[in-house]
Amino acid sequence: MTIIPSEFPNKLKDFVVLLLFLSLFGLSACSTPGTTRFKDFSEAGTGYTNTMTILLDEAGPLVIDTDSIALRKSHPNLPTSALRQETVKEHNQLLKERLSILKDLRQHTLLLKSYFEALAALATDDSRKDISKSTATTVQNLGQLHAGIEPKLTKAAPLTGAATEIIVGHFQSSFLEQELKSHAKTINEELVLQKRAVKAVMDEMQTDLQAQISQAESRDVVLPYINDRVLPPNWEERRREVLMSTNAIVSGDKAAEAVEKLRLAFIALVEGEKATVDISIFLQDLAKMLVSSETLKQPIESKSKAGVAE
Amino acid sequence: MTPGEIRSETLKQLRQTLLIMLSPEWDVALQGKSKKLVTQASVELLRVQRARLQLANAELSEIRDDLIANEADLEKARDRLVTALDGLQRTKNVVNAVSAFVDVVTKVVAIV
Repeated sequence: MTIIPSEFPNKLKDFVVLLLFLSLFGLSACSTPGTTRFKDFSEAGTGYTNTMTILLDEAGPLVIDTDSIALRKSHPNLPTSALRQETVKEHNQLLKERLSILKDLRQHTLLLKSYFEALAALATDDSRKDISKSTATTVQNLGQLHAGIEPKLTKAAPLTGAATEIIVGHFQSSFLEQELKSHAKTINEELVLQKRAVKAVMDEMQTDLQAQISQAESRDVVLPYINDRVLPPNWEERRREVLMSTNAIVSGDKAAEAVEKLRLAFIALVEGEKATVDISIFLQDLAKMLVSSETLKQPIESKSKAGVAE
Repeated sequence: MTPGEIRSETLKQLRQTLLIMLSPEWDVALQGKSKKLVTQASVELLRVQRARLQLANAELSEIRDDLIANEADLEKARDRLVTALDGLQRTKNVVNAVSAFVDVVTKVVAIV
């Protein structure tokens, strides 16, 4: 049993093998799979959506805490229970509305994340390498089936693997280019909207975090210093924590800049240009900010209770 | 100025006002002041906070609606990528099947 028919002229067999070699060398010399740039972009996009999801999770508790500070400060000064009831009801309603919007934004971010993940999966080399490995094995086995052609095919086997990788790589690359072009408008619009969304969310978070830092400064640092004869034992430590937290705040404009970088990288990809996008510093800054917001939740062991800053 | 710009500018002012009213300087300034003034300050703080929540909710819900309007197209783009990925996976499966078949044939030929 043979795969290549025995009646196949030997010269023609040699010619086929030669063509195979030429095509392999030709492909290897003139092109490389261009999927790396898609991979870089999709990884940056996935990093962004992961961070955005965390931010949206944190934005809710942060706005509730700030609102609670405002309610607590005002509570002793609201003269009637009817007024207090109306106040807490109205604030709760507004916060519930906020939480519902944040939930919808989170849901949408997960959809965008799944787009970037699909792009990343298609742009990775794994499938291409698997296919080329299998193809190389097949060619080697084919060589063993036909003694006459075996030496040439054995030499060709690793190259066949490389060729398959390149061919599949080209398929991936050209498909990705075609895909990005056909949905360029959608993705561009999405990134423009994301820029607006991240700015709006971060502007709110910046305000909430700044408000909490200010109140921590007032409650744990300034008022004890003014009013207390003896300062709390860890006053210095708390003062350092609170003042250092101010540096960790990331502005909405900075967040919007990172998304703009992502959008510009996308436009470069669509236009077939090299797209470099590095938003890692921005992502690190956000992580620091979230850690900082956690620090603020640990109040000082002080005679000053939360209500003192009223 | 467009209505959106007016809202955005007002929201910015409200945020700044809220931060002033929650600052240590504000707390220090209110110390020792009349009950009437402190009560008035509390009521104003709550009004500013409510207005800020309302306007920010309006801004965020507008963005949310625009994003949702883009969802159908985004899903389509994602699905096309997933379909292409499936195609690549099928190619891999076919090549693997051929490879396995040829492997068996090679062993059979060796015995024959």
